Amino acid sequence: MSVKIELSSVSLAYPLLNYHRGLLSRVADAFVGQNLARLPAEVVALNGVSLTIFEGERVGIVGKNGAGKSTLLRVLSGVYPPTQGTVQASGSVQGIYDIGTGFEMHQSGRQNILYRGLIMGHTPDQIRAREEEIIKFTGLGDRINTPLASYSTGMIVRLAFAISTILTGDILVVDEIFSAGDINFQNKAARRMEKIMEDAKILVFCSHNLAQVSELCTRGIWIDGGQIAYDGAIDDTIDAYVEHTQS
Amino acid sequence: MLERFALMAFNQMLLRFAPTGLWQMRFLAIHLASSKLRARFARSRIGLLWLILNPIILSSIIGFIIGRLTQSDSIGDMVIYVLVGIVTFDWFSQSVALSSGLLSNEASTLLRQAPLPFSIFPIQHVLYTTVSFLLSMISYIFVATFVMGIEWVSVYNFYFIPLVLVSIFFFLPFSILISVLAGVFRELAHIIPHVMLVIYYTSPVFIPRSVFDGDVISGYTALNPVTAILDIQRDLLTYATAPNAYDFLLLAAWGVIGWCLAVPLLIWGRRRLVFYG
Repeated sequence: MSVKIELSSVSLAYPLLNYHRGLLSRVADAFVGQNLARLPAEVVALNGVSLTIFEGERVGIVGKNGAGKSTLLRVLSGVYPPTQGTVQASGSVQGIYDIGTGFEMHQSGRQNILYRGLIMGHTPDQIRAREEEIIKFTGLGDRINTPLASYSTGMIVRLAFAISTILTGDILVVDEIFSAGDINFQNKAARRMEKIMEDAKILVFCSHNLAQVSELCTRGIWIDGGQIAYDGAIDDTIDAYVEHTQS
Repeated sequence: MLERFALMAFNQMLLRFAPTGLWQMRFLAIHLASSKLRARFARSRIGLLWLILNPIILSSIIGFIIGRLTQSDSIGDMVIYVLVGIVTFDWFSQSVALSSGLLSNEASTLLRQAPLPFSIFPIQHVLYTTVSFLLSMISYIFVATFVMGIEWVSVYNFYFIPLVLVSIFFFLPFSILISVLAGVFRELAHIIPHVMLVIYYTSPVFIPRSVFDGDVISGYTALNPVTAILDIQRDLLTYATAPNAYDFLLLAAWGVIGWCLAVPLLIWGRRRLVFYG
């Protein structure tokens, strides 16, 4: 069976019900006669997005901040369920984003390798089989056995990247991970990413680095205001996006 | 319509617990529970030993004070009574009340990183509290055997296994309920401690059991699942007698009520909870 992702009229709205002005603030507003606008009930991040990505496609997602790019990636990964519409993905999906978050700081690097691998849905045996490879890639040496709280930010990023890119799937969804680490590590990371992107049957890559997107992808999708503004060849998409932002 | 709902609920339960969903995440649940246990005593010199020392110290203080105030003939008996009460009630309150922070604290980051079933968080939490409880029971074994010389070993000790299983059956759905509702309605997180306080003082945790058979409170006592757990515990470990079948049935009934409420809530929250973290 060929690998494919299909979104059909997908919309996603974030509820804002839990975010409201506190009681004292509202009482104070009433006293001073302010009439601050009530918060909306929800924020629409995606609005009627339909697209199909076939096996072999390398799709670059571009758009300004708040356009809905990261939301789209998480919908593709199955992390965010759409409020409306359907998402169908045939093949295993591996999302690589927010790699620096969700670590157990009191645990060692080695224990966090197990932890992150389990979150990604792998078994302890699968993780143990790749553990030494991960440790070697990070270059952390004996520090792998010390608590993460003693690591620098760069060391945590190296560990996070190594874990996230060792265990991958048929469909790879990547969100802005090239900007971390020192220059040596960035070169090493870039080579690793090229390899896993070649191995993936579908790649969905989101970045503000348009040169990188153009180099890695063949198809482009420009997201604007939660909707697809352009869907075509990567260079045409980037041109349309750049022209719009400069106008 | 009721049949359709029941079938949908059953299918959703299978999705939650079927091999392709929650079962695949069993290793993560075990890891989260053990990690939580390690984190609780991180950088402490004696670490897990506090799970044994704390109940002994607390029950000694309370038992001595209550024993003196009630002019009890045996302070030691009072200490043992309170020790069982504290260890057991801690198990219940941590399993249920402390679930209120699961969605807003523990689950919020992970739910946004991977498509994890939310029910894994209450499951690992109850697993963690149960392991803590079992380790804390060492405090009772130590005090009863080496300090008080109580002959608690009997054939009835085997009822301890079904007690643990039925208690988990009762705790887990209420852990799910509290974690979801407190995550969606944050006011609940501030109300739950008061409810726990009421349950604490209306259950035979440290107050002598006979008080709860009085006319005013006997009806409530008959339906209080915490009283049932405490009675079973003391029957098995202190009095070496067979536990009352009614207590097991009461726990099971509360468990059924809990699951009838928790499953629809899990179904409702399946597509929403990631946004409430």
